[in-house]
Amino acid sequence: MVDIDKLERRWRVYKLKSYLPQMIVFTFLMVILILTLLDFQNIENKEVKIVKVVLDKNMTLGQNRVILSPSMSFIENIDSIKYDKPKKVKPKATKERVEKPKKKKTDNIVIQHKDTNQDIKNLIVRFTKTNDPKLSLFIAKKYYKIGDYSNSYKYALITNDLDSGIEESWLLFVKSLVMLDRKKRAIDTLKKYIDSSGSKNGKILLDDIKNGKIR
Amino acid sequence: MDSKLFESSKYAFLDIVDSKDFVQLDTISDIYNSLKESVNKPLKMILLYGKPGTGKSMLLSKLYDDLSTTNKVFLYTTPILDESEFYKLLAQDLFDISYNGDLNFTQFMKVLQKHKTDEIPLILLDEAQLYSEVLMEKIRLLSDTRSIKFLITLHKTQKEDLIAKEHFKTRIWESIELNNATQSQLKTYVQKKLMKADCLDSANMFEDKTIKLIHKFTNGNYRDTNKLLFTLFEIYYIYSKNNKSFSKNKISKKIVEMSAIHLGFING
Repeated sequence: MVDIDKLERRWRVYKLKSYLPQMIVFTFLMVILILTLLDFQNIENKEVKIVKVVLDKNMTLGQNRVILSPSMSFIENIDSIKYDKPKKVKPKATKERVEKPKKKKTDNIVIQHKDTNQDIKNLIVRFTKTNDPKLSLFIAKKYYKIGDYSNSYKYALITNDLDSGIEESWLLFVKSLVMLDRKKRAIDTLKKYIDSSGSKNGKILLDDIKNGKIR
Repeated sequence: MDSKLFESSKYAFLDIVDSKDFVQLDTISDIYNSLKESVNKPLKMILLYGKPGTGKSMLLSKLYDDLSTTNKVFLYTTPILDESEFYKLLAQDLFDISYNGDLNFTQFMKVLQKHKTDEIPLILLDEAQLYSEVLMEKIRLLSDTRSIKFLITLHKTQKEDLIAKEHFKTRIWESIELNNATQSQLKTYVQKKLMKADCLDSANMFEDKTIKLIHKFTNGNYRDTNKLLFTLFEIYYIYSKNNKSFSKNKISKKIVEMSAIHLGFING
């Protein structure tokens, strides 16, 4: 005679036993999966940390690079330059000195013109000795040529301070402003200059700026 | 489906050797026919061997039933271990001579020669592995006289193979091996058994995967299959009596496994 209750209990034990290998394999696979995922996450975290460290380093380097190149140290020297103050002509562009222009395409300067930088440095050294507005205009042109518009702006301004009669310094000043995304201010300044001097080149430049030829 | 059906189904698998329960399967029929042919050949001895539960006894019983009406055939299902008793039984059955005292081999040989007839009687000896080696040797000598033909069945084990080889290799002219059923044979066997017992509904409950599972537990052994299905239908019978819920369309895997656990085919 079959004892059904006992047999059913035995059957449940049997089923449990029969699923045991699958359960073990499943658990094993799950553990491996979880460990793999955890490991992967750790690697990702490490990578993120490494990237962060690299970024931090780069940022520091970048800051250093901004400080080092292009060299701005000459500005300090500029303050100590002694020169005869030129006769002031209206409109006075010196007001623009307050504006701190955006630093743009500084990387290009570093990459493309290492030798030019050295040349400019030499020119600046010479300029500090002579205070020659022609030299500062030349430096401004050089800076404009290599795309360092903030410096071309500054040296155009310095030239203008030394000799406001040099038209090229005005035009270079205005062009640098345009390139520094201060188009409105550039146009206003240029208009004032044209009004006071009636410069033909100034008008041509104004048209070029308005037509978007200089941008 | 009522409990009566399961009860009838259960008894269809009662493990008894009755030629009426003989199930005609293709391979078994082939074996049976070749056995029948062998009996009619002038052979001294025929060996039918196979693992326990492969249907040797059933085949022998069927052969006996079929031949007994036309031939002089005697079936000894239970081994006669005492030598004298064995000869006395043969003398009684073959020649209708009864002896009160002991009858030894020499005396029986004399009786045999004295009553020799044209029709050679056939002695069917089941479970021949239980006979002593000495008696088996005497049986061999008796078969050599061509006055008696023996058909013996042996369990196929390593030891019994040896007996078959050593004792009978020169005398056995025909040896037939019985094997366990294949999956498809087992399905036919189960369904034919149930149909014979008028249990058509329960026969329809067997799917191929159920047969596969049963075959897995029994290796196609007929005796084990009978035992398993007997238990299976007993469980069904109890379930239906106790109004337990179960699928009535197909045999439940759970109940096959429970039957296998009950019989010790698997550990639960």
